[in-house]
Formats: sequence, C-alpha cells, structure tokens
Amino acid sequence: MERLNPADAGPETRANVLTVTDLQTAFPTRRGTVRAVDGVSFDVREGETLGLVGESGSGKSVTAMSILRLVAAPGRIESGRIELAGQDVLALEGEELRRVRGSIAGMVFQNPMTALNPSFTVGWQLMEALRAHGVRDPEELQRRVEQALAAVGMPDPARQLDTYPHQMSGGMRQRVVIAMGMINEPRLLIADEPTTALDVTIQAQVLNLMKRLTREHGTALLLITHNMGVIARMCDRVAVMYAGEIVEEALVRTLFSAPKHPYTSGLLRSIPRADHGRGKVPTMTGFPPDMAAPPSGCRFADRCPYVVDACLSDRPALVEVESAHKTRCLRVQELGGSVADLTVRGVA
Amino acid sequence: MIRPALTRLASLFGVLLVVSMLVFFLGSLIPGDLASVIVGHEGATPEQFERVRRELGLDQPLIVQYLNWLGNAVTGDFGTSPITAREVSADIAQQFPVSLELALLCLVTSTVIGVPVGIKAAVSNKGWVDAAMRASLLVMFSVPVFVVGILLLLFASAFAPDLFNVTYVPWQQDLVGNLRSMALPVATITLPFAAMTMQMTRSATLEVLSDPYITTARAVGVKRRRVHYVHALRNALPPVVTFLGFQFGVMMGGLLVVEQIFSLPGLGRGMLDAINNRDYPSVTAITMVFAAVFVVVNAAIDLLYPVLDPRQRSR
Repeated sequence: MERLNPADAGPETRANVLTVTDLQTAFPTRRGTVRAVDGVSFDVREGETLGLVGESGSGKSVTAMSILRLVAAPGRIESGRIELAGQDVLALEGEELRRVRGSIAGMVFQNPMTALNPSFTVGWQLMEALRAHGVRDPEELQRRVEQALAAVGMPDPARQLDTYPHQMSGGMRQRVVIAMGMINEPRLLIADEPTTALDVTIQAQVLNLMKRLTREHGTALLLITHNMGVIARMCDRVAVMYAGEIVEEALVRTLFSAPKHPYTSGLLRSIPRADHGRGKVPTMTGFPPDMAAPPSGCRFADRCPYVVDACLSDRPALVEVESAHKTRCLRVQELGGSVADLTVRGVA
Repeated sequence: MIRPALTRLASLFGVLLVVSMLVFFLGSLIPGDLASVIVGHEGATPEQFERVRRELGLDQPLIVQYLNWLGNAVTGDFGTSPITAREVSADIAQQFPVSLELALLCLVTSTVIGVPVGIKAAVSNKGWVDAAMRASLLVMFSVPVFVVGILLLLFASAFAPDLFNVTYVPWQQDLVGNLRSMALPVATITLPFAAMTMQMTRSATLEVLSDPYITTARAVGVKRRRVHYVHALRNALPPVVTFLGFQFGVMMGGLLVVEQIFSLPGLGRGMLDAINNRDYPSVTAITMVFAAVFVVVNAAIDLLYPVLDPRQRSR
C-alpha cells in the first residue's frame, strides 16, 4: 500500500474522503414517519478524525449506518447525497455497492460480544473479509490475517486464527472487530460507539489502538460516540447532533473552549470532572422532542435556557459563524462569542 | 466428547427399558391373550387353551413373563408371530429397510426443499415471495396425507401410468424400479414435512438475520447470498436440525397411512396388520423398534450439537 499519508499534508489541502449532503433517513412507524436523520451535512477529510457526538436517539448511529447503506428495513434513506472517495454511494447498485463496503469504508461496531459470528473462528471471519474483496490465495489470506491481528496487538496471532469469539475477552474481540474493519485498508473507518460496551480500563487501550492504526495507515476516522471525553482525546473536528440534526460543528479545541450552541454548552457542563469535588453532576432538564412530530421551530427550544418566541416558530439553519465553526441557533450573534459562561436554566 | 456420549448412551438404554415396560404391561391389559389368538374362539376346549397358555408361559406371573420376554428381546428374539408363523425379528428385518428408505428419502427431499425455501422466505420477509410461500404452506399443512396420497395415485394412473411402479421393488433388486415405486409415497409425505421444515427454517433464519454479526458481514462486503446461506444459515441450523431429527422419528413411525395407500411392505403396514390380527409379539416388537429409532436419532442430534455450535464444545 503505497499511499501518501494524508496526515502529513496540511488540513486545508486535504481532499474529502466523505461528503454527506442533506441526508435524510426515515423509519415508518405506527405513529408516522420518524426522520431519524433530517438534513445532515458534513464531510470527513483524508486522514482526519471527525467526531459525531450526541445522546442516544439523536440519529448519529443511523447516520453512520446510512453511509454504507446498512440501515435495516423498514428504515430508508429518503434523500441526500453521500459521496465516498468520489463515488456516489446512493447511486450504486448491487455488486458496486458491495465492493465499496469494507474496501473504501470499513466499520467498527459497538458491541464486540455480538458483532462477531459465534459459529466461525476469528481467522475464518477475517479471511472472509479479504475473500469478499477478491483475495483467494490461501497463503496470502493467512499472512494478511496474521498481520492484521498482529497490528491490533493480538498476542500470538497465528494461534488466534482457530479461536472462536466466545473464547476471547470483550477487549480482544473488539480488537478483532477493528482488525476486520481495517483489513481491506479502507480510506475511512466508521466506528460506532467502539468502546461503549467495554470495561473502562480497556477503553483507553482500544482508543489508543484506533488512533495509532488510523494514523499509521492515513485512514480517516468517523468516530461516533456520546462521550465528550472520547471526542477530546481522539478527534480533530467534531459535529454535535441533536434530534436528527447537526447543531454545531467545529474544531475540537474551539468547541470545548467556546461552544456556540446552547445544547453543546449543556453537554460540556454535564461531563463529570474530578476537580468539581463531590456533589451532583449538572444535567440538562427535559427530553429530546418526539421525532414522529418534531417541533416546527428549533428542536432544542423547549430545553433551551435562552429560548425566545422566534425560536418556537423559525427553524434555524446551520450557519458558519466563524471560520470552520458552524452552529444552528437563531440567537448566536446576540448571545455573543460563547454561551459557555452563562448560567443554564435547570442546572443544579 | 467421550464422557457425555457415554452418559447419553446409558440414558438411552434407560429410556428403552421404560418403553419396553410400558409396551409390555399395557399390552397385557388388553382382554384376551396370545393363546386365544392361536387357539381361536370357537371349537377349542378349555383344556387345549390351557395347554397352549402353559406352552407360551402365559400361566406365569406377569413380571416373570416380562423378564423372559426382555431376556429374549435383548438377544433380538421377539418370539414367533402366531399369524405368519415366522420369527417376528425376521419379519421386521424385511420391513425395516423399506420404512427406513422411505423416511430417509423424505428427510432428504423435505430438507432440500424446505431449507432453501425457508431462507428465501425469511430474506424476503413480508415480501410477496414470503406471502406466496406461507399461503401454499397452509394448504400443504391442511390437506390430510391420505387425500394427497390418493389424489397422487389417481393422477399418476391417469396421466403417467408407466412412470411409477405400483408394487414395491426392493432397491437391492432394481434401484431405478425401486425409486419408481417410492416416488409417489415420498412425494405424498414430503409435502407436509417440507412445509414444516420451511416454516422452521424461516423462523430460525429470521431470528438470526437481525443479529449484529450479519450487519458486520454485510459491512465488510460479503456477498448477499453468502451472508444468507453461510453466515446466517450456520447459526440458524441447530433448531432446524433438531426439528429434522424429530421429524425423522415421526416419519419412521407415522407412515402407516402412506404405506397402506401405496401397499409398501414397511413397518407401518406391518404394525397395522399386527394390530388387526392381534399379533401381540409383532405389535410389541415393532413398537420397540419405533421407540429405538426415535431415541437413537434424538441422541445422535444431541451429540451433533457441539459440532454445529462451537459455544457448546467443552474446551
């Protein structure tokens, strides 16, 4: 694999490996259509790590699944455009789509206990990933699988080939899942809550592993998480999702120091911190809106401490307020540079 | 692997022992006995009757009779049929291969039809394929075997009289002729059994298809068919195999009607004849054979589990 490591180039000169434009993914339910992803646009550049953060139900996982068109029926991508390494994913059919999966973008799933097939050995499953993309030679299969296992830090890779998933610990299984995502040397790795199901002690190891691997191979990473700590540690840029929309997008440093959306600011306040001493961790009040009937105005309005009448009627657009910093708030100019210092209603 | 197999074997004999007791003692509750069958109802003096009873050991306590019978049965001797005057075990040795062949053929056809169709139905869940299949399944379930059998027989004799053999031909004698005599009975039973196999495969596959590792396989670019027929099927297999094993036992014992319609000289017909003639030794022996097949097949399935599911293998 002789590819120029994109991480060496400056961020401005890097091309996009993934461009998502106005994506809408919907699920029909008894109470009407739920647009789990409602007009989401973002891009991931070669070699960078973009974090997609939000609470459960915000649509971040559905966004991830939409990229490789893995949304389970009856869920459906209704409109939008997904461009992956120059290919229009939504226009691909059958074999073309299959060839993109795994080879241009790989995936790492949340739960390593269920993401691996219990009836086949780890070696077989990794070889299967290679076979899917035309590798036939048994020696090459064996060699590349051992390499992949060694790369994710598996002790004695040759012996692990005949191991079944149930004979491994959660951390080891997640390494196998990562190896499977990376084995076809994709240009983008999509990791959906890759450490949520793991012990805290293992989480850091797995995160470091993903960071090292993607950096070494110049692979871009789309990291989906609800954990702000993971974002801070892993990402270059971050997009915050709320109720099916991106509400803020910025460089990680900017987002943490000067969030411009009240929701982001609330999220940041609810990170438990050791130096806060004992006491309650501040939490946001209220719940996300009913996605079968989302409010016509700002979707965060009924939880927002800065809500005004206009917020209830006008749906704000995602606008670039500073270079590389977008936010979806009507009052962004009024509220000034940052909302982080202001008191948020309902915070203990 | 060895130890569970041995315990399994021991419990297998236990089950057969209990079955033998049930069969023997329940049989003895039926009014009349072997002597009355042999001597007949009319014209026999009580003295003749008593002599036959003594010769057969029927004058001894029931438990002694049972132990005698059991001792002989263990060596494969089930006595002599009062009707055919032949050794019961010799009759069974002739009937068993016929029923075994019929059951095996049905097992193969209903698997070959039921499993792929079941997967297809699961994959197109709630699509038209699924709907069509489930509708035909209902029909196949609902029509009784004797109706299907007689209809097939009628159609065959009307439209293709030379294609099928109406009389049974042993396969050792003429394999093609044998298959021609087996085709209609096999088709008759395949219908409902394939339908059940399909239903079983469909629900097992449906359950597996929503498992996350299926998404993993798709996400890594494995071909759709391969995801279904390798990644999913392998996990859907254990319940299907259990079911097929159970079916096999049912087929061996449940072919009475079909063997009767198509006059196949199998165990089922042997059983019917034996019951009609109050041929006690044959009834008991054939029941034991049915029970043995059932128990052995299910034990074999149990031993197959670790092969199918790696999680059940002891390290």
